[in-house]
Amino acid sequence: MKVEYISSDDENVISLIVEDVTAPFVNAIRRIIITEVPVYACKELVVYENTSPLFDESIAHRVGLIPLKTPLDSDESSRMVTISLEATGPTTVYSADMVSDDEEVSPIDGGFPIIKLGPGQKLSFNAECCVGFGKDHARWQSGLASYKNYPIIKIDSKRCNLCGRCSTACPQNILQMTDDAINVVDVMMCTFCKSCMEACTSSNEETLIKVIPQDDKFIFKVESFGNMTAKDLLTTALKMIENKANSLNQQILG
Amino acid sequence: MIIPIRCFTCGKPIGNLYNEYKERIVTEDPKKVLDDLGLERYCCRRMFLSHVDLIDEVLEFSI
Repeated sequence: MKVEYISSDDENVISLIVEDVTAPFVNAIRRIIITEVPVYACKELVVYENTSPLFDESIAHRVGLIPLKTPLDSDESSRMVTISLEATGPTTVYSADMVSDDEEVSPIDGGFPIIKLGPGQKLSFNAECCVGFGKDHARWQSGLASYKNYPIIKIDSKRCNLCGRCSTACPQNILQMTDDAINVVDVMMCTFCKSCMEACTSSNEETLIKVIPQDDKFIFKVESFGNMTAKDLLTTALKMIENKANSLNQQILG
Repeated sequence: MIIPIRCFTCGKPIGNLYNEYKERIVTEDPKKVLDDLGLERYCCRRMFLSHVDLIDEVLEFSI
């Protein structure tokens, strides 16, 4: 297996080019990232006072979905963290107003609006946060991963009459016309729409440009929602696969 | 009602970006603002484009 990093200035996104693997393997990693990474999220809300226009349940749902920073060594047995809030209107209550009893577990951003309060309206609650998994509820979903086959664009340059139709048809503008050839600028941007192939057929008897997905090479993108960096998300997901494989191995060996 | 915390479809947290979006679309093209905010997929973009902020209408009532 060959892996190549594509550098990005955002620590919440990493892209990899993975070679010599099958689609089921890459898909397994993708699914583990979405469903099986342990992260903190608010599970239960104890509402002491709520005279806001929204029901307790609606507020609980909104608070639950706010992503929380999660220490890397967290698992199901990690301790419960309490986050509390007290507010009196008129104001907009943001996630920054919530006070956590553990500094390491706190909202990833203070800018999530929880609710707006009118004059005299009050809201106070304790939120009980615990570690969970994305397969159980969206609040524990810590990121997204996606992959696509690496595109190969083949142009029959001997027979190409440089009509330029493929270049104008490409919605991603990755085919550039020069005086004597058609150049592929950024092959990774190709979406396999095959507009270039259709455009080519309309002017030639045969398609001279071909877009082929490479079967054993993938562009793999991991996007973290902020609970941890994308790199940590990927390594945690790989650890989860390892744990599953180990437990299977132990059961077989008895 | 009030801007959702996460995108309904993909789960990306978007609620924290709404204030900036609302301030900037007064003078700028929404397409450019959405791109700057890092909303790449059309599921996240529609969360902002189709949102109607009704919280102020219900603010005078309480339960």
